[in-house]
Amino acid sequence: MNLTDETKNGVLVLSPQGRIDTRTSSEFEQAVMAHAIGPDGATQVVMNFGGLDYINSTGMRVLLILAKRLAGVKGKLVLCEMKEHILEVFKISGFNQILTITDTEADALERF
Amino acid sequence: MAPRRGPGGKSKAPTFSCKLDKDLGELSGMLVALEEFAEKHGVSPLQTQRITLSVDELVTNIIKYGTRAMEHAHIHMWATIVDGTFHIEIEDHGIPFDPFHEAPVPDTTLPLEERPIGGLGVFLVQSLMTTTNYERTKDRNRITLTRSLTAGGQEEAQ
Repeated sequence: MNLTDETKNGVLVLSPQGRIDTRTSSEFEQAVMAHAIGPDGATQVVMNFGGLDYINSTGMRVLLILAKRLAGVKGKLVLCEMKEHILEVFKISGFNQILTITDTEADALERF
Repeated sequence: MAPRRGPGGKSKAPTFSCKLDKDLGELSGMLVALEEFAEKHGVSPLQTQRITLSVDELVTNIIKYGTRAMEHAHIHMWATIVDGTFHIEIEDHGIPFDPFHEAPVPDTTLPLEERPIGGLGVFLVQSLMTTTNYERTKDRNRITLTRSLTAGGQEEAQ
């Protein structure tokens, strides 16, 4: 798992690559929280899943924590470019009802 | 049909088997090998991901909870493909636990602020697999999963 970050139009775009499983989810959590939470943390966040091949429920847990924290500071999280099998799991979990998911990163950035 | 165990079976069906220590790094490696096995035998990427995720969620629970009090524990896994169905068996010596009846069912309709953190793993397995079964025999938990490879290949599970 690798996480890259860049800022576009004032929105933090985080792009995890590879696999987020039980072993790597704590690393993912630390990296995400370091960028998006904390005294100088961003509150407007896009998570681009284009390079993500795999995520299990421990990784999804991190997204839920992030979404709750951002909602608590009037921030926003938008997910985009999800592969078919990942989108299926997010729909089964009802995450598509509580998180904003768009096809492309450009669509995601327009939500802010 | 139950999966045949190991190369000694008479079936020519492709088989995959492995023994893991209770170690999340070993689990990661096993999941990649399972994916390669499925892909090599023509299982579609979507079906492969459903299978891999299901095994991951269940074995993660065994490592984190079922065998937590044990210093050493082994988890055995077998998989085979017979007549368009992917069969999986997972066995461990941990505490007796039927994930399909004892794990709480999450409410996936709750709004963000009321959503509890965690508790989705077993629910995902039950949604993604065609059948799920648990039995306790002697000192072992045995989970049996099947995934039909001829149905539900393209449409969303929900």
